[in-house]
Amino acid sequence: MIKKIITVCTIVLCLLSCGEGSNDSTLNSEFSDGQGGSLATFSLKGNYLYTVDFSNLSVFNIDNATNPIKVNTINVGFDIETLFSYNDFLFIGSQNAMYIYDITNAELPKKMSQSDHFRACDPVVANGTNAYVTLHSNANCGGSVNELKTYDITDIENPVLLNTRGLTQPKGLSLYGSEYLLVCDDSVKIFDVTDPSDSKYLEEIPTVGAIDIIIRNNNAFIISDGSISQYQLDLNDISNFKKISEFTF
Amino acid sequence: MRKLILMFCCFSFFNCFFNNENGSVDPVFSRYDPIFLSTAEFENSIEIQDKKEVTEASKIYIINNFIFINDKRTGFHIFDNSDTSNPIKKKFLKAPGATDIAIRNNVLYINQATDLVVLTFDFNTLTTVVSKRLKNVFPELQSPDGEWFYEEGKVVVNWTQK
Repeated sequence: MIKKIITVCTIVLCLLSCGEGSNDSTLNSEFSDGQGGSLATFSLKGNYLYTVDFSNLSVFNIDNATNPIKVNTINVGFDIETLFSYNDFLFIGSQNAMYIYDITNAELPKKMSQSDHFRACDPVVANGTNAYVTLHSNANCGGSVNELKTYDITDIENPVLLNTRGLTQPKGLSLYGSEYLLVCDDSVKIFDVTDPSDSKYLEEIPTVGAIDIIIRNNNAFIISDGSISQYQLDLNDISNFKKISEFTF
Repeated sequence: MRKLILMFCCFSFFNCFFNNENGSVDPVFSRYDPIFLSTAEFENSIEIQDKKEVTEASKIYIINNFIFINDKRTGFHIFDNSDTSNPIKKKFLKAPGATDIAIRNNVLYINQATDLVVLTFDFNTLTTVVSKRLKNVFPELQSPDGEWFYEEGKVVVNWTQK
């Protein structure tokens, strides 16, 4: 009897220690990624780091995080500026176009479409149905367009331009839920995009020189020429935003 | 005679070509001057420094309770945002040539001009070591008006207006 108890105890102990071991490994394999803005050129996805430079999209395998291996480089076009990922798609903004790549095969991005536009600087954000592109002009980008463009991307191979909205000098942008789009312009403008073909201005967050915005949970981080400001947003009452802090450079 | 002239012309063309190739320092047509480091300086330039003034705020990156702000082509200001009502500027991660960053757990990926640099970062002590450098995976930095500069043993990390 005692022998049996000892055996059972030993087995249980063994199982427990195994359990702990595997727990540790799951902890190790879980990763916490940071978050960039819409002007980023790096994007982490699964065991890969995607980057864009002046003309290329590159894929780095980061199975071993500290030892990335370059596994592919694709020539996309010229004057590439931004990279945004959503599900299995990469949205690449260049000074002349928005490109969409499918990364179902992670190491072999496949070009799905290219939507050309006038020469200007242009970040992109997207969700499952729509892509939003801002174009702005300055000394470096050239051009003379300052617009927010809304595309229907239900057919990813054939994005359809739904509308174009003239703004002052729109830069970074971010979706907040599926209903709201926040755009860094002469202030941060909040648009209702529940119906993207009939988007409506709702509210502004007063800012000066806003460059880009990150929304994480219900917190907005706005980087401007002279400050970082943080706001608490409320998805149920969008006009009820609260300033948490402003760090002036 | 004509053939001679033609040959002469060819030679002078070649001369132009070679002169350019052999590294004329000044991209004459650019409104910008290149700022460069020797390859050795460049590859040893990443370090954590005391906090400093923000010169040209560029991109933003957040992870957990930290905010990284890129100072265009010079490095990253690191803010402790544990108290969101009072973020504190802690350190400067010097990385000449860098504009972008991505962070997974305690590993930082940075585009330092032509190189992808991997840093292992300690968020408690705010110290770091370079774990890997993938050389020349990105093109040389272009000036904002589209000029290139190339000279053996040197890496362009920025361009300044003349």
